[in-house]
Amino acid sequence: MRLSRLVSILVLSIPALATAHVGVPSGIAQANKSGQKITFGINHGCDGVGGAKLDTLSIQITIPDGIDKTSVRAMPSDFDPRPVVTKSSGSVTTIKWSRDPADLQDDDVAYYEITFRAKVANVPFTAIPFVLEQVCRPQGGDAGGADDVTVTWTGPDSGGNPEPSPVVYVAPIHANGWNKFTLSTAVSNGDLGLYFADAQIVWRGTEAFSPNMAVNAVIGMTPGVSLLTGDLAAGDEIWVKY
Amino acid sequence: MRGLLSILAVAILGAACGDNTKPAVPNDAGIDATPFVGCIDPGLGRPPTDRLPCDLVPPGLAP
Repeated sequence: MRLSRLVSILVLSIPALATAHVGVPSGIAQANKSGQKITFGINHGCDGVGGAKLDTLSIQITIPDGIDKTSVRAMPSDFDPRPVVTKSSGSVTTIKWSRDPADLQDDDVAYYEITFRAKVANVPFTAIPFVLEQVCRPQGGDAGGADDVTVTWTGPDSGGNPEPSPVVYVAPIHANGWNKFTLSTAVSNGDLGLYFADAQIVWRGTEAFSPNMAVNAVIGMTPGVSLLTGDLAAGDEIWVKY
Repeated sequence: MRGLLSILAVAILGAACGDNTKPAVPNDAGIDATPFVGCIDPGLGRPPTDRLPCDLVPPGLAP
């Protein structure tokens, strides 16, 4: 059982390493916590005419449910010192970061990050997908946008979708050290590695799980302990060490 | 007769109150039925490779 568990973790890890989708280098968010930075990593540009590799000109994100839209603040960066924030009735709906076209490179060789600050709603153990619109332009391309290539990152990372939504996973609000939670919702075993990616270890009774493979390996060797192989149910009491 | 009533009273009280000094299900050593997690003190240096260090075992579960 332990070997099969390790193999499944390895298999699940391979796509994340092999693909170059829009990433979330800020990692797991915490529910009902203000002042969190959410960062998206733009790992590559776009494919242009004739296989040309185009640099990124702009990124626009749409603020989804699960984010307190009144708390959103765009973070200026080298990419765009003055991102454009669109609001509706006091709530931020979109943010757009645009570069100076004069800074575009003639190849797709750069990595960019965009960041905003927000409070995540009280929605632990949920996955919040974001829709991103990425626009690329050839160096010296038409200023009116005739040469632009637009890619919309949306939808699930399945079924061969080449541009899936980046997803922010939400854990319960917690502190360093031991945290005791009573689950308000079920969590499937396959999602433990997503919601507890930054935890050291998770316990339910005498069952344990760790996203760290070295720790996970010794769980099954420890007298009185077994690997947590089932789903977590609503009402379960768990201990998590961060 | 009075002695017999006393013995009966003690027996009834004992049955009602139970005996909390013994574990409900003693293990082989007869000393404790609490789930025992065989972690070890990580100490200094390399962490153990054959069982969990106790600092990864939650409060109340470690020996």
